[in-house]
Amino acid sequence: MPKKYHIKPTPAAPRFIPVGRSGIIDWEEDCLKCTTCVKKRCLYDVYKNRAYDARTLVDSIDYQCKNCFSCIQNCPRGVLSKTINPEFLRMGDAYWKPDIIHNTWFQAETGRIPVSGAGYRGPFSGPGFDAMWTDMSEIVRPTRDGIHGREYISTAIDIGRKQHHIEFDASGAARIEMPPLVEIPLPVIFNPLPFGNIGISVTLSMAAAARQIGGLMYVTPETYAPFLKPFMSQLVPLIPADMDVNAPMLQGVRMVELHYAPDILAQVQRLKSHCSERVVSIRVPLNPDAKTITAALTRGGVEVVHLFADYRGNEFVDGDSPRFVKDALRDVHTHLVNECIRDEVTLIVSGGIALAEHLPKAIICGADGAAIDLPLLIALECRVCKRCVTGKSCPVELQNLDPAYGAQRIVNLMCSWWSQLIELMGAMGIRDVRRVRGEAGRAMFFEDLERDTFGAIFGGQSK
Amino acid sequence: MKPQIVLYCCTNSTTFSGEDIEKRIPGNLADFKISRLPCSGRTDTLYMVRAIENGADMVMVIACPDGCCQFLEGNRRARMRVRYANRLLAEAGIGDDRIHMVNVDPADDQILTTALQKIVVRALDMGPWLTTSS
Repeated sequence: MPKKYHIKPTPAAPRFIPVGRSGIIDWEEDCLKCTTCVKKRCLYDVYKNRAYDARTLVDSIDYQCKNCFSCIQNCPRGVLSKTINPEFLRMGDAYWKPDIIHNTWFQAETGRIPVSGAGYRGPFSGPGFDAMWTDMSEIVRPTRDGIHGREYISTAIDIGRKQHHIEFDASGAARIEMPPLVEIPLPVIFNPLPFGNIGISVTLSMAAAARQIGGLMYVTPETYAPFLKPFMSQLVPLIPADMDVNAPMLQGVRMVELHYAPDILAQVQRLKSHCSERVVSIRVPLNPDAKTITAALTRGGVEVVHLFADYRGNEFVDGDSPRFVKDALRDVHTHLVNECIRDEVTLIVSGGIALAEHLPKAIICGADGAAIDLPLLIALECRVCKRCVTGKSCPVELQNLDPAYGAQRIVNLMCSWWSQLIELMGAMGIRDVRRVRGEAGRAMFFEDLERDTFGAIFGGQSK
Repeated sequence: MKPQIVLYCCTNSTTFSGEDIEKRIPGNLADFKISRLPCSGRTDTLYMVRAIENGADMVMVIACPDGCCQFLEGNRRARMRVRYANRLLAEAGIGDDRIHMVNVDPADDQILTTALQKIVVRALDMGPWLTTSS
């Protein structure tokens, strides 16, 4: 039996005190100095370990507090009260919400699955991926001894073209040449960062992490430098279609990706004729035309299509109501299924993949794997303040990051995502992530439920 | 070198940003760092003293008007702490006017602009407390 894939996390404490959710307000002047001080009885020792960073103006108590409210309720004089830290609420933007950033920091620090079960956490549905629920149908096929037991749950995917059929000659030998495949043990590829790639340390951290987890990482001609040479088997150059095939960044790589252009099939042929062992992928913007383009590329023999949305997960379209990546992706996947060509091509999707749960949800919507960008940056303590976009200094000094430390933070994040992926697959009764692809029957979509339930009552008013 | 000024800002009294400061104080006369707090009463004495210790020339606490604190008495307590922190700085020989406080009425935007201008002028007058010997 092959060795089980496993990612080993190692705790990597943050370099800077992270911005925390809670805001404890202390009327310390009223303290009775009693013998039952709640600060000394804190289960998590947050008062004992309290530190204030005067450079970044952040208090450690806000991040360390687990919101158990024990101190607030039990102080005899009631000197403590609690609210939400406004700096926390200001982090990120409308899509990359503070909770997502906070959650990612925790996973990058510990490598553990974040647990949030205290109290009512808000509505059970929302926009984007929150309008989708996976069906935990473990009753179909329960695990014999847990997800980490004897049964192997595979998270590996094959990137490349799959043959529709195999022909044999009279002697029984296969008549076709099998196209190259790149197998990665986790359906995640590291995408170029939309911002924040300041200095070589961020790129090195990503490359080292990709090597540790056995994954791939896209690299653009702008970010490629000779220091990436030891990581060539992990790199996927993302290049313009007419790039010289002898360029140093193309030597020793297993896969390359080209930007979509109308004459792209000729360029693919040019690359394949130079090296047929290399998988060639095409990066296509996700928009209403993506399904016809993807179908045409698939019929033209393209091995991989990478559909990319913007970093908030919206498709590229003029107008006020772009579709979210999950809906646009389902559209492409369904079109390929109807055309009976879905199995021949590998679909990678990127844009808006922010949390571990988004990965299986994207796969259920029809992707084979996903490319992620901002979660990697957030794992390196980024606060999504976007100061770097305007040329201002980074509050967490990403330019001074130690690549080994940065790689460990990313590995921890991937470990947590991997754990959550196999938890979900175990609960769904699926043993291979390749089988999760397009399993829309195992998921519920809020829009569908709403239409089915209320459509008959509200008629045309219901979406 | 421009004076460094740290603002501890109650988020209920004002929600201004770094860009707003540039509009209020044209000329880029000082470097501002803003820390937004849920209440001015969150401003611990330690926060102010540590900010000065870390190289800030001036600190200003921005609070709600008296009687308008969402936490009832946060701004009163902040004023006590500002006074105490100034006393500590005076004892250390840094002066007793490095930490200021202003009660900002959200309806009157001019109060904050005036307070910011005043603290910049005061910072330029006093000069840095931390001088490196050549």
